[in-house]
Amino acid sequence: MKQTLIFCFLILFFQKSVFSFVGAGIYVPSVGSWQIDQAGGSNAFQFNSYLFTHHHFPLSAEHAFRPGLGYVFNRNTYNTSYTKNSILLRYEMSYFFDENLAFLYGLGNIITEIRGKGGLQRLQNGNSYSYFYNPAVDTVRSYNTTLNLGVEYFFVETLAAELSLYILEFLSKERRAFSYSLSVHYNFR
Amino acid sequence: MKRQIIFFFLFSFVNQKIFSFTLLSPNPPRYTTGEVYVDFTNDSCSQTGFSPQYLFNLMEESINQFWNKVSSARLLLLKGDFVDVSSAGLDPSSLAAEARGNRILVGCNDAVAAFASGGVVAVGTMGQFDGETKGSIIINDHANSEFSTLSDDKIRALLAHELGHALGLGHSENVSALMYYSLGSKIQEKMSQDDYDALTYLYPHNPRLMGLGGSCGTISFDHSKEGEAKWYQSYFLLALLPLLMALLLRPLF
Repeated sequence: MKQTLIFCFLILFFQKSVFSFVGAGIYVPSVGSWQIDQAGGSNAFQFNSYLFTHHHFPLSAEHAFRPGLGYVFNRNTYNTSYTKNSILLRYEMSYFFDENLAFLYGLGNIITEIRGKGGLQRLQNGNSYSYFYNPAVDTVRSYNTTLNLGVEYFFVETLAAELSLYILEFLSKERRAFSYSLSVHYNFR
Repeated sequence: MKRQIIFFFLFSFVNQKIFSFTLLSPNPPRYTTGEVYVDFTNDSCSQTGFSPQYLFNLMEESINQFWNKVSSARLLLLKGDFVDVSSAGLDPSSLAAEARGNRILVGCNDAVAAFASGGVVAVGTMGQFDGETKGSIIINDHANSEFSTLSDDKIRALLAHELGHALGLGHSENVSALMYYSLGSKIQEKMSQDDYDALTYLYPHNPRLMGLGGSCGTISFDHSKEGEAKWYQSYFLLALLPLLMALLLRPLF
């Protein structure tokens, strides 16, 4: 299996008109899934920095294969017991309506990394206080395959903006969650 | 340009929230099955103001409203059975020992010392007993219990909080979190990010296809075998097949 995948990517790299791009933006996880205040409000926007790189492999005049790799820097500054970051693997296709606008579709993999800080916390427990344990200083990774949909708009040939939607647990009605990213990228043609 | 950069960094620190989950022990035991059943004892729960059947139904609603929504965790909680066990005179640890393996047992009694004040409406815990992971929740059935004054919404949130303890979680200092020590006057309709991250930390989805894929929400009766999916069961491969075919056939056109 590994050999097959490597062979496919080697074939792709020797194609003409292949180019790469790098980008940055924001990633917003699990929109509407988390409570954020005591009134029951839920999350709609969270500023998590997102850096990524993609490669563009044209398959025809309109279609291209664009695998990518991204890293989300979750806002961990005030986390007292753990840190969290995410890795995005994207296996997407693009369909160009015209030279400026493309529709993105495909699958992806979101790897959620949680790393504990260790130690103890003294927290209120009923009418008194108790010591609770922070998660241990090791890294735990959870893997979610996602259904990805998006649009990409090229302002000029080398600069574009992208809005992408990532659907986690897309086959489960109860656990389905939606994350999105908004980014700009520069490509090296 | 400088102003934009400064604004960018300042903006990133606006509305900071504390995310913090804790555990009951340094490395709590895990339930080894992907599906954990929650059973109910044959206690009468007469002082709670609710019948055991009603409480059991609220428990099921609580499970589906809160813990079964976590997309990044593999654990699934399910409503179990009424069992011929009484929690009379037992503390949470002793009741947990009475539970069946890899299950959580819920009961009502007035035996817990903290129950006499009425303010502590339930307690939960978990541990290893006879080599198996078990959990328990005891609802305050004392005459002074404030449980009977709670609305259904509050009871669902309360039961979900105690289920968190039965899964091995401690409290959070995030006031919006389900695992914050007190419900108080807040409206708790969902879990917070650190509640989600806590369950993800304890029960992460396993990687598939050499880490290139993961869970996509397929319902399996045996989640403990999640990591053993065959290569042809991977949805990543299904997505790759059209591309492989296009590449192989392209020289023909």
